Amino acid sequence: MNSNAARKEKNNINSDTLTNFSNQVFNIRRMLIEQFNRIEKDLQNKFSDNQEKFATKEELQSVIGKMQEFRQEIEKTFTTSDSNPLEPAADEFFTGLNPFNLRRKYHDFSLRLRSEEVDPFGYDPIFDKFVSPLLNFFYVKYWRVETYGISNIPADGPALLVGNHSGGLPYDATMLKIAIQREHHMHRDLRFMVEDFLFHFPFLGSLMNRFGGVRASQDNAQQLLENNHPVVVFPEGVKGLGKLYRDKYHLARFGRGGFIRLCLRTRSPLIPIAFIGPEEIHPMIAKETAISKMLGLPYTPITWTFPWLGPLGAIPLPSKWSIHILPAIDFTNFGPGAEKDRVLVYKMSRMVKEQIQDTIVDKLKNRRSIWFD
Amino acid sequence: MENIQIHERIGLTGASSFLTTLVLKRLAELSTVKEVHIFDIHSPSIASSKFIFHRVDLTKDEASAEIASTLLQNNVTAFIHGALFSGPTRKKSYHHEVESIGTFHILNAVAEAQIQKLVVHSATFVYGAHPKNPNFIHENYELKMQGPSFVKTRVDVEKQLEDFTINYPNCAVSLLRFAPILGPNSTNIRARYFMTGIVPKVLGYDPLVQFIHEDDAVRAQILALTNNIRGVFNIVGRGVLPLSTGIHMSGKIPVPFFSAVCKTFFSAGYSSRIWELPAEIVPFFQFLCVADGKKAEKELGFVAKYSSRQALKSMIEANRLRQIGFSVPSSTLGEDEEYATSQGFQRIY
Repeated sequence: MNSNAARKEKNNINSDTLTNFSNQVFNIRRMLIEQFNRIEKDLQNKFSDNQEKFATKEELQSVIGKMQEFRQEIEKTFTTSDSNPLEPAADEFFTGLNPFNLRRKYHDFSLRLRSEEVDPFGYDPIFDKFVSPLLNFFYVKYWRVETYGISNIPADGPALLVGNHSGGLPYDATMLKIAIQREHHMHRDLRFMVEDFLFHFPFLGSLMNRFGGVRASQDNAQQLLENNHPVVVFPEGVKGLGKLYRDKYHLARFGRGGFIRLCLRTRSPLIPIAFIGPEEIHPMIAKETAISKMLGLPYTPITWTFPWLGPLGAIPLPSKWSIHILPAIDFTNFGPGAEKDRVLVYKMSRMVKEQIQDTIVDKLKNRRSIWFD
Repeated sequence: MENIQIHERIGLTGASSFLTTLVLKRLAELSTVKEVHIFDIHSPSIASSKFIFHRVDLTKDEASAEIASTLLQNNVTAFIHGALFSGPTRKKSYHHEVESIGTFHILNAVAEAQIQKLVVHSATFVYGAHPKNPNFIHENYELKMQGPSFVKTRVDVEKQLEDFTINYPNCAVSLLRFAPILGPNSTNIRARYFMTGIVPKVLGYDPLVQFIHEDDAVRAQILALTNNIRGVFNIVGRGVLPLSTGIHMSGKIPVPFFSAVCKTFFSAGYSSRIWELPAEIVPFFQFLCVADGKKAEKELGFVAKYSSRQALKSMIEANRLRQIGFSVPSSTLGEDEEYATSQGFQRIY
């Protein structure tokens, strides 16, 4: 009886969500208008009181305080409106659990953690939502990522982001994804290219896949761009991931200009990106190759902590990160067949590499510490 | 419209295979088809006044001459080569003989009888499951002679066909690469995978998989036969789904195994006949093997009615019915337009 009542209640909630949602939208709109009117009136009063001189510091501060209050209020209304979809699922798993419905509950619960239909490339929005608290923790608290120039990423259409690669696992791509999700005004979903060898391993490949990673290949990148996704590529590839600590921030060879050809073919803008910080999360002092080759890996990293502390050593170090997104390079003016021009492709790829390298050097000049703000 | 060609007399091999049986059923209904000459060692399980059965063993040397003479005598203009396996089988050398040597004989006979249209049933597993595969494999992706023996044999068959198309341009060859075919009647290796009580899977690997409904497969086959369009086509269902989602849909209990011991485990169960999953199939549960069906849509005009998910769902539902003694009406599910459209007939992209 108890469980039945609970279920009925839940059903009611589900049917009411639509009306609730429209009510909420109206409420938010009304509230926004009211608050803006209030602030405007306040400011007008302040200015009409003392027309001759500018507003004093205290007055400005009070206005700022009011704005902050207002912002908090808005945030509060928005957070109440979308509750975490996983919590009721977990509740439902335990209500009325008995040996006879155990299997069914297990399947229902597992199906709730994934979407009905994944994207053709394997991206699963529900799984994305499931892991985002952890990644947000990394973004905000652990690496304290600062992102500059987020507005250089277009609001719609394809975009090819090109960055410097480092850090053993594609943490940099993940953080860039979170940065765009959090700070870009359209909250776009970034796709990233993952090295082949990750797909040999259990868990890593399919986890990356559900989260928006796609195996690095020209075909895949082109298809993603044609479907109007922003895509990040790392032309350094495995060479960049397996950089030794002494080579940090020196860009490795930049492929064979495949990313330029991709841009020329799909006419998508290219956005260079400089990552500061991920080079220090896994300071690799040596590479082991003999045993790795037998296991089919390109190398095994040896860091200050990794094989010595076991899995504990695989935890990345908390360096201070910043991501610098540079202005887009436009490719719409090139004629057809430009991707076959070797000289053009080579020069463009050198130019992009130098731009990223210069930015890194410039930002490193002003960095006082690896670990602290 | 000028591409449409009507073949009154059709030759066919592999009459006892699952897909060809369904094709035969459809051919029996088509009014334009007058005669179907069936070359096989077993007579087909369905009967029709149109069917003429010739007992031919494709592994024997006389097969070419026998088939060719029959084709010439009866003025056969089109040929369907369906004597190809849908997956690995227990008899490996026989498997190789039937596929590779059988295709050799068929091509000889087709060349001699100057057939205008040849349709061959292949499968997307020719691309192999490999971590280096792109997410969507195009028809011109290079086939590699590597991997399990059933893939190697099929690649050999496709190489023969490639050679044939270059040397005999008068014959319009259309090679259809089907995704794993699922549906109410399918009993191939992918269907059996979802039928067992406990589903073995590889720990930590969850590839995207793709299926095609049996009705879609038959439709594509008839389209290829009536259109005078040549080439290689991937015939796949809409959308993809992760393998684990499929297992959860089937309601069976997944049991993950470490990838290192997985092959041993699978081959042990296979040789002791506990299940029908050989160790060769393991990479297909680990890595991507998903084909792109855009070419078939553009050139052949084939649009899948069912998504991969619906194909799997119909298979699971039919299997549940079969377990409690209901015989599932063959293929009536697919004829029902409403059923196909009810569950969200939406293009994924």
